[in-house]
Amino acid sequence: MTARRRAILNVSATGFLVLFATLLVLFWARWGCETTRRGLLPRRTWSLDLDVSSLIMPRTAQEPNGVRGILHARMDMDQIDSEMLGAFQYLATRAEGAPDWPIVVRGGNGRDGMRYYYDRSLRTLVHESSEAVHQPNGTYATKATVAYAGPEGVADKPDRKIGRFSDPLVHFVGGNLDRPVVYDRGLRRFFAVDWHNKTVEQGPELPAKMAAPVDFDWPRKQPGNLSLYLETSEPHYVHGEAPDRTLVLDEAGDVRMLNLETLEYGGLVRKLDRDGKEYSNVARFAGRLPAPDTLFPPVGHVTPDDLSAYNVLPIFFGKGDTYAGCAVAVVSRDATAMKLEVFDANGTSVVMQPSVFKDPFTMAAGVGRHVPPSTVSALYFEAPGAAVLTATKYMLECLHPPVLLWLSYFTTSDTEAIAGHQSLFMLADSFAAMKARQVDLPAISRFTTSLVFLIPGVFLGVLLAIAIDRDARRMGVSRRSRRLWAAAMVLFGLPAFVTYKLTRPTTARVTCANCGRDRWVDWEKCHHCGSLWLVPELIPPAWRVIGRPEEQTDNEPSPRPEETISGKSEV
Amino acid sequence: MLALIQRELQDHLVYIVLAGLIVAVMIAVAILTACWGMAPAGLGIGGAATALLLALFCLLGAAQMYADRANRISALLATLAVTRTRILAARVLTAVVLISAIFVPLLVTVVAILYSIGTPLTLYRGTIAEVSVTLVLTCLAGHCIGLLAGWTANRTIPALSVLFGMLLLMSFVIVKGFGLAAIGLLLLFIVASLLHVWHRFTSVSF
Repeated sequence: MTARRRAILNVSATGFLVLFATLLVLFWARWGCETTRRGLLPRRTWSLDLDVSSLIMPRTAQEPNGVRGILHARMDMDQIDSEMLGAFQYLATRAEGAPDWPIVVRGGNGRDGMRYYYDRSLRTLVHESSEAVHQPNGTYATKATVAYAGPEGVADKPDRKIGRFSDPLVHFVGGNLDRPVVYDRGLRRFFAVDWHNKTVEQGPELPAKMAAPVDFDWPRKQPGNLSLYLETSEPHYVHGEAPDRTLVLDEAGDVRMLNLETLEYGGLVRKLDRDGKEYSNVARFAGRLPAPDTLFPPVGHVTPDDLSAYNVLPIFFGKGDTYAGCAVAVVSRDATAMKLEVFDANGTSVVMQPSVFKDPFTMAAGVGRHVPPSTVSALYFEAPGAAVLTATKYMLECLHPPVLLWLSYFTTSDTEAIAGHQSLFMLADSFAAMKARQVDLPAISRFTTSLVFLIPGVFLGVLLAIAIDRDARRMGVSRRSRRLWAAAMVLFGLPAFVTYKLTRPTTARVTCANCGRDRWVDWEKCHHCGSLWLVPELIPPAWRVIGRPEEQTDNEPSPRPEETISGKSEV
Repeated sequence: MLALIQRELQDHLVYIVLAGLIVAVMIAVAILTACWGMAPAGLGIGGAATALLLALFCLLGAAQMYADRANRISALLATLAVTRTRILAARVLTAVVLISAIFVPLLVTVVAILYSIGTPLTLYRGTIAEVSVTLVLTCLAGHCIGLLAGWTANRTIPALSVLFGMLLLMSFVIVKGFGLAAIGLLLLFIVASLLHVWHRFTSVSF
């Protein structure tokens, strides 16, 4: 391998290691900044309570002794930052009972119990159970039975006839273990498996234009960090369960009602015309995900991927036959704001509450604004110390490699919120990326205003490139290499600078015999004057100019007159 | 090559014994956790033991290179029919052998426990594979950091570098989790580290 290739390999390898280490250090610095920021607000800020008595029992809501209902939404601010880190998120999403995990239900202990699960290799649902069978001799024996369910039916063997699921989402709606409901993302249909009768009911295929369901039954994301529950004196409240209906959250952020008998959307009718007035049976929504406050509002349409956490709670009464409405609580992408919205049985928004910062000192004094600021505004600017943390975050983003910051700007809309929290390379929650999500602005104006956040990194890269170019010129780096280093500085900024410092030539240099400047010992020619190592010896000329002998003084030595060479050449 | 690996194993027997002890503790904790159902405590001890394993492999790499540098082993071996590239390869293969010897029994234990408590293995096959590969690559990356840090005559620098590198790797796994993204980045890290070590190790003049 040539020295040049070795050098390229060494620089590439060192560059990646430095980039890796730099991005990790910057990540933890930003993480510390965000965690400290959320701690600036009192804990009660992250608790939203809404009186929904009118939703539960409209007639008695105004009476002093009437039925009361209070919705409580709580964000666990102590854990939300750590829970969104990859390792914890990985374990949480793969635990039994996690929202998007192929379900396992056990009864009994060890291998003798009853189990429901999705077999990834067979791509079928499996129901294993054991039952005691009475023997002729009066004893009992345990008989294990296994049933497999696919889209086409149920069988005792994983037969091809029952078909194969491709990417199912399984829930036991209302705790009904005998009738799991499946949504298959590949087949775009709902299924209901009846283990008892060994049948599978298929719902109609969802139209291609319709947004695909993300979750159903009790749609939640990060349920450990965002709790939502109803505290009520209504004796017949059923916590989110109904035998014949369930809520479905789709990828567009709409909440729909699914009829479990027919496995198609329905049961609710919201009649809207173009002006927003109700007139006909057009849309069937039970609600939608509200948009929480952001630093650069508005974000427009909010989808499940845009939120760090959400919790959609259906409210049923009686034996589940009376649907009162649903409550939706959400946490913004950067976890700086919450919002709780309640929809009635017709899918109309009844009441909404965003998270706000109630400054205890201002409140105690009874002065200041009547409308408290949103938590976003408080966390970025108004709370004590918030401005310093915002400036720190800005500076940390400026140290991020500019090329990655620019890429974050262009890819932020495709990045899922929690994945954005775990990202080392792309900053989905950077100021520039937040600006990119401000969809109400025209693209050009959005981009030009984002330059405030994008340009400083490039400017730093240019400064580093100038500094490096000066050093590289002194070290005798070729022009082509200097250009490459300059480009690397502008693109990668700080990591490229550290890489240069670690891999810069450090060979000892000697004084050039020709030009007198420092030159490389391992180069054939001086990189300043281009002379070889063997500088031709300067031969003194054979001729001399003889003129009138100079006057001798006592102070300057001069050859004696008889020693002066004159006339002929001695060579 | 086999002779070189054998010699490396003999020279660093202490690390092998310590690694064996840690894995024995991890296996015991896994079995006790399964029997008594103390998953949180088991996860905590398992996490601490994994961090210890990572530290051990960092130290192993550093010890291999520091001993070489101090005793000029590779300088001596290079006079024989052995190249520096082969010496380095032997060190890396030693770590690979040791990591395999540690993780295979651990993996077998976990699978046996899951089977015995009636967990459908098909559900956890992907998770087990992802977690195992990530941990194996993390340990190998730790060894590479040790190799990077150990090639110096100073004693303080390797110790600090090993500590920094270990924190870096652990924090990386915490940030990225155990999925394919983490595996891909760890592979890149290992390749880059080995290239850098190879360049330094084969460029020495003595």
